[in-house]
Parts: sequence; structure tokens; C-alpha cells
Amino acid sequence: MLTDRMIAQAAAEAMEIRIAKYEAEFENLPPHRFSSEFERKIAKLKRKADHPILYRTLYRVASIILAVLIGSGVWLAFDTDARAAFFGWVKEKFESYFVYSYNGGAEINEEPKTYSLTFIPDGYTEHYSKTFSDRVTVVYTNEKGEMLKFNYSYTPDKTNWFIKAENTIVEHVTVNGSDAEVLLSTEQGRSTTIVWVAPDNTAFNISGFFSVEDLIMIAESVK
Amino acid sequence: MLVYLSMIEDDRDRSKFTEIYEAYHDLMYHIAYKYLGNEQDAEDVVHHVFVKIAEKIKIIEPVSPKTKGLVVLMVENRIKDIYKVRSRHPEVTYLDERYITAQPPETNILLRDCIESLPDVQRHVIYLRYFEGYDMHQISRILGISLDWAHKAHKRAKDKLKQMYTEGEDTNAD
Repeated sequence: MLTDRMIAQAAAEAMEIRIAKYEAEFENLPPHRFSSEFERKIAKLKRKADHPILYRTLYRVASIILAVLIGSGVWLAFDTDARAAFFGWVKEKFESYFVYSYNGGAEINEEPKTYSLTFIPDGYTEHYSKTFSDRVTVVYTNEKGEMLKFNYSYTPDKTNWFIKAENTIVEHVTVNGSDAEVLLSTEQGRSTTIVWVAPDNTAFNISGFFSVEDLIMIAESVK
Repeated sequence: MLVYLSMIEDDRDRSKFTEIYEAYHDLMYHIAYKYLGNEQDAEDVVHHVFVKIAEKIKIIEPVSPKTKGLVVLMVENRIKDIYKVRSRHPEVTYLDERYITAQPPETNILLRDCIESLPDVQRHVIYLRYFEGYDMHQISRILGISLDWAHKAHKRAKDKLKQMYTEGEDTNAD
């Protein structure tokens, strides 16, 4: 029987593929230099959309509140689920997603780095790989159509990772001595993800339909 | 500490609109150029879509996978509109590529193919309703169609999906 949830999942997958195809097609093209007329019109639109006075006032107030919280040393206890320091990154909860973004303060890799999985579970073969700027994605699939996704970014200050937070349990583990988080879905049909940052500040995530132990084994095989 | 605070403020001061623009305008341009083959026309499409985004900025999420899907859909929608307007001109060819050739195999290929084969408006309604999570009022505003039309497109799309999915399952079972 066709359910709304099945439609939602299929629509999400179809859109993801559609966008990946576009990005793969355009990844080697240089950014377009927009005409001055276009830039002028967009600048006007930005001014209209931004509501700068109200916006800046609200965030100044928010910054003051945050400063008080940090100054009193209670901010970490404030809501660790909503905003948590994560190994040089910040993990925030935005609606139904965990968003991992770099919080500065660590040296950023300038040179491109190449990593790969040296352990791939039986039955999985490489399906496609994509390099987009400083981000690399390699997808493996098995005969059942299950995916093993390997992602990394060596300049994490440009990276935001969105990982579904609904019905997700977070486990703290280590990968070759580095702290890591495993996001275990309690929903059937959703993969498990492991996220960590290596000592050289390269950020990794791997997702697939594996146990926590197997996922750690795969993660520790990254060379 | 002050550095940390100033970083947060700098980050937050960038508006949702500006962040969406900076994240996606180049992708949007390349999609438009791919189909229209003309820089000016492609820029006009990007500008048109950002006018629509500015109008609906309150109901649009910040930069996220969903927002990326939405802007791509809005660009495609605008390109289709341009094709409709220009259909009287012989030099313009309608391109209707479906992006299912490079797909990794997953469990829901049949249903995904069914969605991709829907007529444009119905497919867009399905994406906006089930992928983006908009209600029918918001969908009608985003697509620039009446609420009644949006409801009809939604019903037709679901009926078609049920039919195609059932037939597909039966074929696979055979």
C-alpha cells in the first residue's frame, strides 16, 4: 500500500538525485560573472528582504544574553541538545536536523587531501564518487540497493552538514582515538551515521545500514 | 570570548535571503543557462526566482537541503514558463530531461520513477507537499496557481501515483 511517508521518502530521494546530477554537471564550470545590471537588481532585493534594523536589534539582544550565559559559565548546561560544542565544530539542532558547522579556532587544511575506505563490507561496490570543491562523496551500494555513503571535507569552515535529528539516538564513541558521534535512527529504513573530525581537522561522516561496531570499523579504516 | 561572540554576530547578521542567494545563485544560473543557452535569459530567471523568494521569505527555510530543492524547483518552474511563452518560436526546443539515469539503486526506485514521470505541476506539488512539507495554501503561492488548482493537482498526482505504483508492483510480482 502506498503511504504518504513512502511518497515523502521517494520525493526526497528523487530531488537529491536531481540536484546531485546538476552539481556533477556544473562542478568544473567556473562561477558565472553576473552582469552589473543583475547585481544592482539583486542588491535592491536584498535590501528589501533583509529588514536590517529589526534584525540587528534582535540579534544584538541575543548576543548580550549569550554573553551573560557564557560569562556565568552556564551555557554548556543550558541546552546541550540544541547547541553543543563538537570537536572544533558546533552542532545545532535546527527543526528536524542536526546541523554540524565549523566554529573556528583551529587550523584549516589548505591543501587538498585524499582519503578512502580501506575496509568495505562484503557485497558493496563503488557506485559513484563526486568531488565538489573541498568536499568528497563516495557512494557504495549492495545488491539490496542499500547505500554506504562516505563523505569528507578538508576545509570544514565552508561545510554545513545536515543530519536528520528526528527519532535519532546519539552515541559518543571514538574513531582511532578521535571523539565521534554515532546518530542511530529508530526508524526503519533510515541509515545510521557516524561523524568525526580527524586530528588534521578533516571532517568525516559515513552512513549506512550497519551496527555501531561495524560503522566504527569502517570509519577506522579511513586512510 | 569576544572573538567568539563577534563571530556569531557576524554570522547571524547575514540575512536568510542573502545566505540563500550566496549558497545557490551560481547553481541556479547554471541550470537556467543549460536550458536557455543565453546569459541574459539565465540571469533573468535567477532574478525572477529571487523576487519570488523575497516575497515568500517568511515561509522559506534557511539554507538547507530542502531549500536547495525548493530553489531548483523554482528555477525549473520558471524555465518551463518561459518555454510555454516561447513555444510559438521555432528556434526554442523544449527540453524535458528526467534525472533518473544516474541514480544509485535504492529501495524506492519504482516510486521515484513514478514521481518523476508525473506532469510538471503535479510533480512540483508532490515535491512541495511531501519533500518540503508546505501546506496547500503555501504551495499555491509558491507555484503561482490557485488553491483550487493546487488541490486538484495534488489529488490527481496521488491518484496517478497509486495507480502507477500498484501496476508497477504487479509487474514486478509477475
